[in-house]
Amino acid sequence: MNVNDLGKFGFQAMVNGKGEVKHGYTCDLLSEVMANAAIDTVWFTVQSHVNIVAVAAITGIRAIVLCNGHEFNEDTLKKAKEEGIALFTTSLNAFEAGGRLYNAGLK
Amino acid sequence: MIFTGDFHVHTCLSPCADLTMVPNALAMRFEKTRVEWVAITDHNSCGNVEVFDKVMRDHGIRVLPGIEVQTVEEVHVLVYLRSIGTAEKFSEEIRMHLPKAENDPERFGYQLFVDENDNFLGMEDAMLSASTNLTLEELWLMVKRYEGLFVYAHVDRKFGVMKQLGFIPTFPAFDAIESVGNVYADCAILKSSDAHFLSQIEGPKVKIKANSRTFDEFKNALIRREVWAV
Repeated sequence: MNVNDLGKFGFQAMVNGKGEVKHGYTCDLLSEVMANAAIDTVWFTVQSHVNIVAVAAITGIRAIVLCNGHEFNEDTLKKAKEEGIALFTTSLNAFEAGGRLYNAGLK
Repeated sequence: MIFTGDFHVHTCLSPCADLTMVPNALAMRFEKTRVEWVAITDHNSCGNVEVFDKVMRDHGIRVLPGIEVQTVEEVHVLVYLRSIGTAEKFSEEIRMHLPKAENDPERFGYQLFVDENDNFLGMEDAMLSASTNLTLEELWLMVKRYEGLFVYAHVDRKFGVMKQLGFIPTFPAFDAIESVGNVYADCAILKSSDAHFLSQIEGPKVKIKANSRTFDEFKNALIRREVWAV
């Protein structure tokens, strides 16, 4: 699935990205994400600190969906544009948001 | 002079600390284990700093006023402040950033104020175990407004900046880090007991070079990196 197609699942696109996503991962502890997330992943979290973009870039995460109605700060948006990481927001919680993509075939 | 120190210690005000963490018990324990300089750092409050300072002073121990603040990112930051008065003002402002919910002592732990004879005076109603609504950056700005020191607590453990955020962000700047392992950082590195129980006070955690046991001397020692793990 192309990262920019994630908007079709009801998530609001904040920054466009590139490439395909094949996996999903849900966690708010960035050390865990760095250690465990696969490449080509869409990541569901409530953590919006600018470090999420660097963690995504290092691990090969292509898109981040910020859940529970949280909003990205300017630093995070700017950094994501530079790194080419797609950012989305949603009012859904991480379980519901991830479930939509799980049902669509992401593992 | 070289002093022995432990700059991260909880009292019975911290919900997760033991009820026996009262002033005279702590003072005797530190005196016995030869610790000369101690920071009182309860979760999100400086409410017991004054009474511990008073009692510990009688045992020849000096207290550095402090607090362990939890940010929105669920990162623990140790803040050290110049005086008890400054610490209390800082603590009042932190209180406004805590959730409005009242603490449930049976679920989250008792948060007790004490007097110099170890009598319980009352309970803190605010939820000290919760996160404030301050981001790291907002907390840092607040700390600098009070001319305090901003130190990342146990960076390599639960609620430490590296666990929560993967690595230490380039901004905000910080005055030192506290590590439980062997983390390398280009700054002063503190080792502390983070004692929540009397049995966790076993002796000095650092040696520190200072002319006297004051906030300014502590600050200078961090700048000069004249603090060493014991």
